Amino acid sequence: MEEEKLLKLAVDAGEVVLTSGGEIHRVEDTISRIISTAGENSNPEAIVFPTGIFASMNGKNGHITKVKRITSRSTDLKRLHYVNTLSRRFVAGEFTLGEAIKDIERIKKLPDVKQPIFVIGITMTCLFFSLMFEGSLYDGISAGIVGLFLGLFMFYLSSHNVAYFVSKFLSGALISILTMILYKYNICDDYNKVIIGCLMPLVPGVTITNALRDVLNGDFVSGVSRIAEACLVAVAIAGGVGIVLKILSQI
Amino acid sequence: MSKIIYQTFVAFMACIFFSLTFNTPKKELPFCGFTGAVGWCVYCIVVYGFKGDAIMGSFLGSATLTASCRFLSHIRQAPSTLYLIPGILPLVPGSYIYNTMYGILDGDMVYSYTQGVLTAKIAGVIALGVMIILSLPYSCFNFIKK
Repeated sequence: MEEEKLLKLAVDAGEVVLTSGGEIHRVEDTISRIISTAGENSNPEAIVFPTGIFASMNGKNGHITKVKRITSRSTDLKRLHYVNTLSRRFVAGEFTLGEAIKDIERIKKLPDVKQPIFVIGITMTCLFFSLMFEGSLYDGISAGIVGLFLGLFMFYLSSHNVAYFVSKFLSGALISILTMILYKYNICDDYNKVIIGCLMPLVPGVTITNALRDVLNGDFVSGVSRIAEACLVAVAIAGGVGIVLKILSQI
Repeated sequence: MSKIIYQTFVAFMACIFFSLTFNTPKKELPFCGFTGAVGWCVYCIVVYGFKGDAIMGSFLGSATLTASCRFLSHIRQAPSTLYLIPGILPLVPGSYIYNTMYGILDGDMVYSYTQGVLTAKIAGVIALGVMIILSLPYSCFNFIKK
């Protein structure tokens, strides 16, 4: 019974790390470390893919295995940080098993990022990235305006469970529509700088870095599947921006 | 020189606000901004100061940024991914992806091909820079005692 609880704790911790944007190696490491607190003969094994976790350990009454299917992934650094602290303190023996299980339930129920904070974050990110790519002050301000709507739109899409690639495509289209409207009324000087600045929160930078880290670590299955995901996202964004620009240039 | 300082400051602010959207704990926000600023500062010094190319800049930038992530990870007792994810963003070749798309749209295939290859090169070089530093042993980064 104790061992099943330990295995559940390990898989839950791994699940939170994986769904919060941790790389595969970190998930496997977390699971193995938690299971190996059971003793030398626990024989921890963990195989993690972007879509599922398999973990097994050697219990008193033979091997026990747990499988977990992962359906959604996002990036949530608060959960990542808390689970990391939890697993380190549990392995060091500062937590009992019961406390750790209670803590992981608390971490799972932590609220997601709130809408105003998300929107402000996206707005200011667009503004500063547009300035970073040598846009003028007017470009920065118009990128902020576009970013405000982009933030609201992205939050709306993610709360209504719109398919991932479709939401990226629509966000790209929204950016270029709004930018071209602002350009038409001479608010921004160079629409390329505004669009590039607003694309930065959308580009799959996290995915590509994690994917290449996975590949270089030897986790080829997850690495290659994430590279495919990153390429598809890049194509979806570029398609959304490109189609709108093409249509507007024809009119 | 003033351009490099301006660019570093803007990258710092951008990284702070971008990490807000990832629900980063408030105490870690300045450090997320710091790693992003370090990476972009090195890139700017290489590209504007030494007239190097974007590939060399991205490599050295991502290597320095990962090293600072690992220092911070040791000092703050937090996973290095927490600083790496927001910090890597300024170096991501977003403008090259846009240029590739723009070339395809214009029918200028030579331009879009060169920009596309540059995108792939920069992405690969960033990952290489990150990976080289990550594969160093932990003892290289824990000489500052807490």
